[in-house]
Amino acid sequence: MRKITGLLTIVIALAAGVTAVADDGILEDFDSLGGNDVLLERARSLNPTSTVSIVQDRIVDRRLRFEISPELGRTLGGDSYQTTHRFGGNLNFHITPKWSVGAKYTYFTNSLSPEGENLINDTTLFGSGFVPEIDYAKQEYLGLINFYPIYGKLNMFDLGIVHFDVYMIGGAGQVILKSGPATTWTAGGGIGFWISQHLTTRFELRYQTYTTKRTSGETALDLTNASVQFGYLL
Amino acid sequence: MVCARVQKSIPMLFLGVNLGLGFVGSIVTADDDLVSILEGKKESGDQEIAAAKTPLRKLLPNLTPEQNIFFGFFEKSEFEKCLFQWPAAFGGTSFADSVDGKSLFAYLLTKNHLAVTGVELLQQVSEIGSMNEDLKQLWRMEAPESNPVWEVAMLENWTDGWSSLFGLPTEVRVRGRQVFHRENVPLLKDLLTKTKPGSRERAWIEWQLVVALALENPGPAAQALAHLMKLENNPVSVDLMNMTAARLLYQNGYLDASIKYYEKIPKVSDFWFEAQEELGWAFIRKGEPQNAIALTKTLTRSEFSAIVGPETHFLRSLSFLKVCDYPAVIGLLNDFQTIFKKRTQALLTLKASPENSVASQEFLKRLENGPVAINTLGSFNGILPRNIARDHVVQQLFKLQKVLELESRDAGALYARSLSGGTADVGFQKPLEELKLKTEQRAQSARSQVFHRIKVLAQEEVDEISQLLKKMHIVEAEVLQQTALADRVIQASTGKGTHRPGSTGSQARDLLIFPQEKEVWFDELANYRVDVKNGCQAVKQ
Repeated sequence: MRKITGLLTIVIALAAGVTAVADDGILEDFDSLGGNDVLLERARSLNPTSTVSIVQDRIVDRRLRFEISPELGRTLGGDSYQTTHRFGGNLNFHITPKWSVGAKYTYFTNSLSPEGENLINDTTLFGSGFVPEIDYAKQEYLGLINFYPIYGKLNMFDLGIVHFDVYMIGGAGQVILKSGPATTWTAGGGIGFWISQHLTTRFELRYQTYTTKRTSGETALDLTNASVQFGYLL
Repeated sequence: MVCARVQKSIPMLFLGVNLGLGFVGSIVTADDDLVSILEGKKESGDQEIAAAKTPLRKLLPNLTPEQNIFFGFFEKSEFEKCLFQWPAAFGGTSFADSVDGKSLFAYLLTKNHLAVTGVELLQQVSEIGSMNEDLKQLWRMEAPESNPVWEVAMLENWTDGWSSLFGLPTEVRVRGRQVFHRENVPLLKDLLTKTKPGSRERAWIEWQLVVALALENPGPAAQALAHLMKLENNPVSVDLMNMTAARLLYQNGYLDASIKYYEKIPKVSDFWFEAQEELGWAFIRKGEPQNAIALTKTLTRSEFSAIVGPETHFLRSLSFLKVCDYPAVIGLLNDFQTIFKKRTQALLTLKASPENSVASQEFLKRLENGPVAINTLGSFNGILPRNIARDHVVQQLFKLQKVLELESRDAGALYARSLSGGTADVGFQKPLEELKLKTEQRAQSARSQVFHRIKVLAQEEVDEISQLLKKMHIVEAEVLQQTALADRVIQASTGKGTHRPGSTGSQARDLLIFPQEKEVWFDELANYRVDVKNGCQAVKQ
């Protein structure tokens, strides 16, 4: 068998040499190339296992960079008689693309929810409107740590590729309530899109808790905060 | 009283004419110059030209009336009339065939917007060193180093006489267009010594020296290149220098260093595809076929088939062969057949008749606006030779063709005007008609040369494909040979799998790794990494 294949090698090589001389011969010579898959089955056990992966640069380098991002948000849950909007700012320092630490300041605007309005205006219950006691939040200061374990990329309407990271966030700080300052902690997650070398967008959802004080006593308040941030990487 | 003066002056004037009409021109020019100077119109350069023109009458001992008329026009810078007067003044004379006569006629052509024709005619003058000094001065002023004629005229026989006439910068400009070989090294070294350190001319000659030395003496070539790369005033592109450095290092077996240089070529560069292919060869020589597989994965995509040469397919098939991925080799052989048979057919059609090819016509049309980038050729890339867009010879010949077409048009216009504005004698339009025909022929010849060059490029690529086709046949034979021996290899296998981890793709500290899927994202091209396990071994389960 070895002799036969050796002979075959020589014949094919010679045939290739002879036929590829003239231009016209080239086209005919193409026809004799390929298609010899008869013996392949025998060698399949030698086939390697090849893994092809794509190894790319991050489009936006976030190592040792600051990110400033104003924030708009809303508090979901918590005291059902009030509606709270959040306006704030974040300063994050990206140590590596995987980790960043930051600080958050938030200013709250509070208003009565439709339920709260109804309670005040409803005279049928007690003969006059009932004003609920709400220990609403005025401001907060948080220290945060972010971990970005998952990354991906997005085709932005065929205009370009945007890389993103899904991140986990945790932190603690102080919230200034109507009744005074209270300690708070938070944990959640989000997704950050690194749109260009400087522009970023984050969508974040966090659980937050702190203790409010009322005349009836202290109550732990569990909140969900949804926010969107538009940032600038320095 | 007044009348008497007039009567006296008229005979005096005629006497002047009889004694030597040659002075009249000088007097008229001198008067014109004086008026012009007084009016502030003339510049010093014009004065120099005028000063050089006047003594030209001395070229001939006894001037005929027709020659006097000629020099009269000449001194008044009426060069078109000079040209029309030339046959009457010098037709059939020994002066017309002398060094000065030919040089003067060539000068006249140049002054009549036939610069290439004029300079090429001047090159037919054998002993240019013996040209009259005043004529030389006129030529120097007419064709300084900055004159565009030096970029297009075909001047293959540049002699020392030309160097002393037009100066070293012009010599460097003209000779820099030539392709130098190993045997030209002494000439290049001589040119180097003549050029000013730090000048662009010197950098360009240094580059030519690198190219000339590269094949035979890579060591000195690398030294010259290293020096060149440090120069600020350098006309050679950084990519080309990096590419050359990588090649020289590869040639000397410094594979890691060559890889670093190849990796410096950015994706936007015209050299990127070539650099990637050669990088693949460096990996093969390093015994890392998995990296060559990763690199060629991008290059062998059908989108790039018109830009990438056949050698890439050979490199990829060889890489697969090295890791015993036979089905991949067979698949590649089939791809090679499909892609390059079609391409060969296209090239053979182009070669048979480049003048009638829409693609070549479109390419030349775009070339009118300057060098054409490969990525702007679109579907024509599949029909035109791969290297056409960056072929300097095509660009050079096309530029020459365009200039000669303009000169031919101007010569035609000159001929038409000569019919009414020429000499009073009849029959003297013939030389101008001949001139018109010659420039037309020259323009036609330049056009033929452009198409001939396209033919040559097409043939070169067909030859390249033919060579690679032979090699692919050998690869196929090798596959058959190796598969036939598979049983023995399986028996000899130790059972321990080998692992060849890839190292291509991003080398950044913060990188992203994605699995490869069927869908191809364009940003992922050239970012592949291939890990090969258990190649050429039967692993016992």
